[in-house]
Amino acid sequence: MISIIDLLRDCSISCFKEFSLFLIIMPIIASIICFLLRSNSQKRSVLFIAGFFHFLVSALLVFPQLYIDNISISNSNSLFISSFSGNVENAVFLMIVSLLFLGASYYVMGYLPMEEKNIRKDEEGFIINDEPETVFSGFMLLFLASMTLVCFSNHMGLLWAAIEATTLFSAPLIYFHRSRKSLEATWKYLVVCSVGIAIALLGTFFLSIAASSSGGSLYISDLYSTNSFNTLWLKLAFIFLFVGYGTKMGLSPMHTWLPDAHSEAPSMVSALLSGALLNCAFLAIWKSHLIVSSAGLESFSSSIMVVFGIFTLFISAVFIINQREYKRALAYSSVENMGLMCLLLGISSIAGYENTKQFIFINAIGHSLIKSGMFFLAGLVFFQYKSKKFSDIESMVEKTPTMSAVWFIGFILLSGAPPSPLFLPKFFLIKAFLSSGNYYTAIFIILAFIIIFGGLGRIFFSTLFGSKETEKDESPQLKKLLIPSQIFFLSSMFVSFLFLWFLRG
Amino acid sequence: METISQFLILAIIFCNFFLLFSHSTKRLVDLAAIQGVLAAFLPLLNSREFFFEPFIFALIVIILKGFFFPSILKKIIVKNSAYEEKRREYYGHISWSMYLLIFFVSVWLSTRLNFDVETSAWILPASFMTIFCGFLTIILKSQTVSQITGYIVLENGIYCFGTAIFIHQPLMVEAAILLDIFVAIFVMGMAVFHIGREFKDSDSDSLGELREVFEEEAQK
Repeated sequence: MISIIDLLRDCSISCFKEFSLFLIIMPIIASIICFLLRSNSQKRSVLFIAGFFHFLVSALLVFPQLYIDNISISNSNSLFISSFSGNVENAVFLMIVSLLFLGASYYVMGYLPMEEKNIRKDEEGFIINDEPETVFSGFMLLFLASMTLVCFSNHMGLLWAAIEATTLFSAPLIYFHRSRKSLEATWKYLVVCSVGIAIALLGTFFLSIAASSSGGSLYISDLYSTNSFNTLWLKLAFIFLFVGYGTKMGLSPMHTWLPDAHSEAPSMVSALLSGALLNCAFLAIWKSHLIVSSAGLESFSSSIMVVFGIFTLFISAVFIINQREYKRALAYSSVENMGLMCLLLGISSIAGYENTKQFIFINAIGHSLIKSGMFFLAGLVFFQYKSKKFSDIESMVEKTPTMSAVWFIGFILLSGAPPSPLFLPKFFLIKAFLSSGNYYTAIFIILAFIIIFGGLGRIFFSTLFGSKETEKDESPQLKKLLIPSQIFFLSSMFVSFLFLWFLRG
Repeated sequence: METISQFLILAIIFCNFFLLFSHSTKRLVDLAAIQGVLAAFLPLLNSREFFFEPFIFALIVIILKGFFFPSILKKIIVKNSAYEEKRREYYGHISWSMYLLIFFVSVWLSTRLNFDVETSAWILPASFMTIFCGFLTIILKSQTVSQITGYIVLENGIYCFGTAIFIHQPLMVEAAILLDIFVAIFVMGMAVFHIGREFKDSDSDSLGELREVFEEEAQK
């Protein structure tokens, strides 16, 4: 067994550059093919095939290196990371992006033909005229390429360019339904995120000044090993990078674009935005934090992250409890989880970095799998019940029993109740605050979690049951589209048990 | 050379002044274009030797900011008939006080940061001022075209700052940054075109359908 993994590892290390370039270039070529093809079914097939190969190569690249973690970065002055073993966070986030895209591309193959046959109207009565699938498939693949580039970047400038590219390639995807609301959401997304990312560019320049005494290089691996930073400029750089990438990540109060974009985008795009894109922005903040920590200013960046994390939790709790639309509630749940991840990274100075890192991973993986599964489901619920408002939906248990069962499991997992992988990071966070004597903070966080649980529960239970008598109306096609959500939920539970086993070991 | 670069910096500061006070969208676009071209000349004047790479980059920046972006934006202005800004309350004493505020904040920030700039001492305050003006343009102007112009101004400020500190990054990174800005303006332009077609008005105040529950209740 070990020898096979050794062999795969050697292969992935020796072909790392080729594989990483393949993962970036292949989606770009596939997107060009999509722009040239005429048949919609062929475009969907290209999307799925590209997603499948992306996943396959990512797994080949990542798993053997993660299994035996003893190689350091060999070539530091490369724009691309030359090995994942020293950058487990990149590897984990690449796998998340790849897996989620595969699930989304499978979902697209079933969902878009269903939508094609059913002409729908929006709430104002206008016929929803979807974007041509050429644009959709092409930009989905470009979006994948840019997210992959984020996971490979070893240069703060390239990382910035890749994150900005994710904004630009995902904007046309949000406007897929071509409704007034989706247009408004797209505009807000473009303006807020572009301005946020511009602030991050300024932060990147500040970082260069901070490291000017050692040449001003922006290679991440160089920055980790730089000893002589200008403290004032480094602090400023972190603030700007944090605000810039925090805007993209959906941290409050810069989160305003997120609920609109997630609720108006088609479900497979919402799934990718929530499960993959937010993680990419978090990865940029994580790297910035590591750079600041390497200069001995860990407490400075940690305190900023704790304050923003707590505020984000508070805002998400307030807005979830007042929500009328289930997709918006899911979006605010993403805001909550981003706040949670930010908090976890913030407490790494008191709870130990290596220890906290594991819980950040479990939260990132769990949230991505569960949330994208829930967005896939939300798309089906919208298709079946023709409304985004949960007050318009009732008796799901009678009308669509299979879907309601998955919907319910999704809610349990999303709320963070065991066996959800989201339970462990929450528990760890509260324990860390209590053991460090921050009782009021711990109580505040517990209260926020209870409010969020209540808010989500109100939405999900009102959709499941009701007084209206309805007949069963669940097509086999609909059941087929539940598969990605079912697999993601099962995987999240498996990850949870695996993590517990790992902790015990 | 230093006198010319000081003159350029002064011109950039004046562009900021007119940006805040102008309510004609076409004039805003022109001012951002002039500012972008002026900023593109700065690295050429600052370098003591002739390098081919910065020259080509400056040329691309001049083509993009001086010709390509204005032509796209002006087409959108004509298509959407978005010639004038509607929020007139911001022209007059509010603009004056804001301009003075950002002027003093920029100068104060530059002195506080204590960064040894090899070029003109005014480049740091000028770049901060341009960044602030870009922000204000995005926030205060209601026309979506003006907001794109604000983004370009913001980017001009960041470009000036980069010039001030002589950041030389790998060609691929600089090209990627430039490409991103180009695509950003293109995608934003497309979005504004659709807004004008869908809402019959490209004013951002008409985009108000996505609201939270408390916002809806407050309006009632």
